[in-house]
Amino acid sequence: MGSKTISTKARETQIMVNQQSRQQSIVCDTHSVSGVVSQRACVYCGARVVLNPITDAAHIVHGPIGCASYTWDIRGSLSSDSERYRMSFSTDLREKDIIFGGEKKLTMAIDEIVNNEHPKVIFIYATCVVGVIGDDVKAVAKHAEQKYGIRVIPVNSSGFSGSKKDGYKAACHAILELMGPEKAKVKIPHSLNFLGDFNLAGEAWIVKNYLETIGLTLNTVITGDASCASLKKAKESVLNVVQCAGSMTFLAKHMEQSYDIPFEHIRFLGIKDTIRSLRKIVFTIGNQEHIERFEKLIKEKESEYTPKIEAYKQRLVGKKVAIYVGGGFKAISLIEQFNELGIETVLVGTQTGSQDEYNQFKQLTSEGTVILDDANPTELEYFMKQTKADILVGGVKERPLAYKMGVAFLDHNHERKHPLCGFEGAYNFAKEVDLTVNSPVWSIVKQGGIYHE
Amino acid sequence: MLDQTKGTYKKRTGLKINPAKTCQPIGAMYAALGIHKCLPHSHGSQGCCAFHRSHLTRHYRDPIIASTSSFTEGTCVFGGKSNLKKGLENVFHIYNPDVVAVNTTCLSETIGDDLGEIVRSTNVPEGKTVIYANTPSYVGSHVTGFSNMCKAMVTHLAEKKDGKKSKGINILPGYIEPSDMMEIKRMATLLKVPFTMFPDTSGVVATPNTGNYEMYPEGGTHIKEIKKSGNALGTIALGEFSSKDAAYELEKKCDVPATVLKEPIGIKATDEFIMKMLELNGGIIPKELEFERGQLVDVMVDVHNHYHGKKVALFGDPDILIAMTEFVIDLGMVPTLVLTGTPGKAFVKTIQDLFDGAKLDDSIVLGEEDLYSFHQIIKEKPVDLIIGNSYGKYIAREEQIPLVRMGWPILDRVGHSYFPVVGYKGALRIIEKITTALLDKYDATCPEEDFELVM
Amino acid sequence: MSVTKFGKLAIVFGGVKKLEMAVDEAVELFHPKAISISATCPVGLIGDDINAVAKEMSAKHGIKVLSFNCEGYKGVSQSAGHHIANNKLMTDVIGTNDKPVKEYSLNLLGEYNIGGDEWEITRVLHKIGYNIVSTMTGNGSIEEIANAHKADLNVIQCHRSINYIAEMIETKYGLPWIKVNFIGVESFSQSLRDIAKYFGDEALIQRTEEVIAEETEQIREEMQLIKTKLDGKTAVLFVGGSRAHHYQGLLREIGIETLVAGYEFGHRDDYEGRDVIPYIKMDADSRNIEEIKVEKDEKKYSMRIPESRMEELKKELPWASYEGLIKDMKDGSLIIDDLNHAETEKIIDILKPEFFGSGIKDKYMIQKMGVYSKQLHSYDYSGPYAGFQGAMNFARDVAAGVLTPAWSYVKAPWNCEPILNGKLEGVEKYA
Repeated sequence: MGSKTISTKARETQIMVNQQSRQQSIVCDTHSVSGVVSQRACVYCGARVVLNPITDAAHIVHGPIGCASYTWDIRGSLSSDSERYRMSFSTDLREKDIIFGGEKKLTMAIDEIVNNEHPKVIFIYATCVVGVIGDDVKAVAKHAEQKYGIRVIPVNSSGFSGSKKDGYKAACHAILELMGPEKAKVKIPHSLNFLGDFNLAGEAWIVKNYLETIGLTLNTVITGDASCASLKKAKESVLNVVQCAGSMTFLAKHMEQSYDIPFEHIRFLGIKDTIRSLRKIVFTIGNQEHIERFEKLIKEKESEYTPKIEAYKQRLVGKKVAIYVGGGFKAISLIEQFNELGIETVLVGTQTGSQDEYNQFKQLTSEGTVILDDANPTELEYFMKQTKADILVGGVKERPLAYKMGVAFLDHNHERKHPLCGFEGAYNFAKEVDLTVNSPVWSIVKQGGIYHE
Repeated sequence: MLDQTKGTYKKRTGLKINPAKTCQPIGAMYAALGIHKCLPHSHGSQGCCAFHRSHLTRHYRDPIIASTSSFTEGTCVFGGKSNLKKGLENVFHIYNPDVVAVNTTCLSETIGDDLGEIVRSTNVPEGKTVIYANTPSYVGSHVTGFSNMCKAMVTHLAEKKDGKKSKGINILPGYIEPSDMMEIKRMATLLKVPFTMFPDTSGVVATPNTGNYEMYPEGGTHIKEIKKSGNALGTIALGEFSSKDAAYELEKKCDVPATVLKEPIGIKATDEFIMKMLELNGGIIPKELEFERGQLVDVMVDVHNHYHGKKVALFGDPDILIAMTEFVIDLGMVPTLVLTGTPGKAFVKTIQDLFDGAKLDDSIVLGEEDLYSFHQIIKEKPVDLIIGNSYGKYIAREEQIPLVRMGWPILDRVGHSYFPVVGYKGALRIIEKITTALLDKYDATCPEEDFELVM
Repeated sequence: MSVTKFGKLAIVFGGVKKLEMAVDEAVELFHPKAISISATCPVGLIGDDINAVAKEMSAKHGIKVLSFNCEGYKGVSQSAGHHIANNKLMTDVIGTNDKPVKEYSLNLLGEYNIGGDEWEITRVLHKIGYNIVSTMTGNGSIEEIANAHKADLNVIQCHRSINYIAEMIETKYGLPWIKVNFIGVESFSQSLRDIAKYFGDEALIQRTEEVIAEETEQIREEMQLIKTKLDGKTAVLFVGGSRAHHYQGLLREIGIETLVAGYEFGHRDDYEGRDVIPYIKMDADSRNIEEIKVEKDEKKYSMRIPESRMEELKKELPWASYEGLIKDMKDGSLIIDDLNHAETEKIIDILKPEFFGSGIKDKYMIQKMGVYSKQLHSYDYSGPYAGFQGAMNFARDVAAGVLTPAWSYVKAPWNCEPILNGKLEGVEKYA
């Protein structure tokens, strides 16, 4: 590239090098600077990521075709029943609709989908243009509700109206809308909802399995493998547990207000966190019998998986990892999980982390760790080289960057195919890290191929 | 999962289900990458740029870098001028490309940003260039965006210098893979016709892994070459929908005569391309190309029985479909359904003419349709083979029909960026893919007594 | 299929021990109902007595072990091998299973189930009401062939390869044979009528007509359509010992006339008809092939139909007779035996046929000359081509091959159209 500049002045406050002795803070949760090639996406993206796993809903994207086609079935959230959410529905607005308004087309689209699919709930996502041309999506939705007697819920997700986090909020509003304002008449004993898991590679099912073994009832997952019916039932739970804090804390707070359901933060990534989280749950809503079953489960799983993971640890001790993910909770878990494998975190950053989460990074990592907010590829490249990371953890846009640099890569995002949560997940995680870090291809790459003989 | 497709095909006016196209900006981004040391810039919300980069990354499995104006709520009210200006300044300051190619999105189009005015008022550093194209996502499809960006390259860069005309021609390759562009260059080189190809993404999105990451790889057409295009002897535009606008712009702006041909996919279209080139090189056909053609004809004769009379349904982009429909007819196959998501009556007419020429009275061609309709029609009129991009795999699995992946995007297989489908060699590869798909299915499902060793 | 792999040791010290081991291993692994041992060139030279081994092993394992002294150098072509095989089946297999058979029973001789031909033929025969005792040897089994002598009639498709057995069975067991041709709609229909006439049963004869009508109706329209597309085209056939004759009728039915035909390994009787057999001189090579003498088997011989009827039928049916290829070809056509490469090139050059039926070693050379070539030994892995449905398949496949658009691309456009444009200048003063 030639130039030594790697960033602008504007970015200085969002990059920090951990110095344990000093009090430090980082600027986060602000708009990206134009032209710096941020890795972030938009409000619609945030809303879709939260709502799309709802399996039997019809998700209509109201706007030109692009937003729908780029998000067609790109995520590995699994369903035990309906597969409707894996289809792509769009109103495909054309020039004429932009000029004269898209409400008529939206109405027709709703008619067509009700006749073809008979869904119980429809979500309508507003995209950028819709926000600008002023379509009254709310009115169209209400009219459709009255006409068909089903829920038709608009999602306020115009791409420019904020960042991904605003998308999460819009999605949470939509879910609350579906749940309705009345409190639950009866509560299910020893029950909980799992917020902020999207059942990628069946991870929610793993957690469900643990809870059922303990004897607790996992009522609703929001929104992995969720359905219209399961979401409506969510208010009958006694406790909410929140994994992806970035997207779901807002919903949890509202559910506490509206339905008297308290919430706890948990994380099921890594063995330590999994045990901690299950313990928290059992001691909050369980009785003595549940506790005993829990102890038994932990003992069993630990004795099965810990030695297996130890075997991989031996091949990984001393390696260094750079983490750049979407939300903060995941990065915290990952720092711990890598510690368990003897791998030091030398770089950690997020697209949408909060101040609180960055403080935790500072505490959990060691001197000299680079902490970034809303980084771009150039910064990642520079700091990865500087810190000599052996592996990068990220999503689809980070992968080619790592590979071209001759650095191993683990996808901890939408596209993962193997569950990485719970005990089984911790084992898969260790396997995957080993597979990529210790692949023989890097020695060939580092030689530069035949050109560097 | 597609067991929910039901009913007979009926044209919908409100809803598109499982689209067979996407929007303009991504095509513009891909075209921009075909300029050497160019950073594409998306003037709109961050989401657009992120989606386009992710989608292209998944198809090419290479880094795709582009910047965005990062629109916010405020921008929509006050206009994107300051975002773009700031963005351009930052891009040149940090990333130092030679060119920035700006494309608009539905958002910036709707609020009416005047790119020309904004760019003119920006401090573009000495020796750097900014070009821009209007690419509203609600008009046309990604192919239109590609075409618009190519036209912008001509509008902003092509110069006509008085004096001697150059000996060479311009080749506009169209919206094809880097491997295809490379093959066309190889053929043109063998034919000894001097040429400038733009855009040229070979060497940009299909680069080697050397352990060093290069943000601006060696490939792509140099700006000075595009500037010289105004002095060329003529332009060959391959693929009407992706290249003709740029070619006619060159004709209008610099008096460079334009010839519009099909994408050279299949024997007839490749012949037409070669014949045109022979007009320019004195009629000398290089031995290698004659040899390759002969090999292709030989294979067409040798294995016709594997696919003769078999029914095929195709979907994808217009330029590719036109050439492919003609090719499968030349192979003796029966295309029963040809479908594109891109709007345009001209496409429907062209394909219908092909059908009429081959007396295929029951075949259907549809423009501006989607894959749900495709599935409905196939359910009623089953076929032996589907040719299309990766989105066809759901239908292929549901109906147990083999799928040959061609076109864009291909998200679940490799090979398309490295091995061409154009030219005689490419046609051979297509035959290999078709016969392998059909014979693999036969081998897997035929009764045991019909299982053969030699086929 | 298994092989005893000969190394140097075997050539020097003999391979009998290895052969015995091979047979033992085969029995252990596969428990076959029978084993056949075929000798290759060196075996005859080093003097391995495979017949003795076969006898011994047969006694040891209690199954038929058949030995074939078919060294490659014996005889001038495959044909000698047919003869050797026929002999062994006659001496060791046929007549050893006396299971009673149903009425209207036939043996299909000289039918090898290429491309499923046998299945298609038996489908129609069953439909009419016949029972097949055995087929030699397509889709055949040892037990069925052993039972062949009990049938009512032998029908022969490929005369060259199996006529030996037909003659011998008639002598030994009194079972007569007629010549049939199951290739082509007309021929197949005629053969079905001949078989019905043999049995003389009214119901059978009527059923035959019904089935012929039904089956031909199913294919008539499409075959007619294909004929319009191929009418006037010409063919050359160079195949084996019978197909070069038997396919001519079917080709004619789709509009193609055969200009040149010849066999790879046919004998004079395949060309000129069986009448010529007494006049054929034996040459040195042929003398190597054993002619076994059979005699009437006192216990198992039986006349299937009364002598008087037989004399009548001899006049009306191809009774133990075959007229040969030449009789079916037009004046002016060429008949060439054992066609070679140079001759093939010349013929194509001069006559420019559109269809060439032959084998794998010829196919691609011919196609390089721009002529469609179909393998008639293996059907290009398609088929069946026999019977009614088979005629339909053949017609379709030939149409596809002759008419595929690929042929129109053989000549490159730059060899057809002018590329350079020019003007004639300076001639005005001569105008």
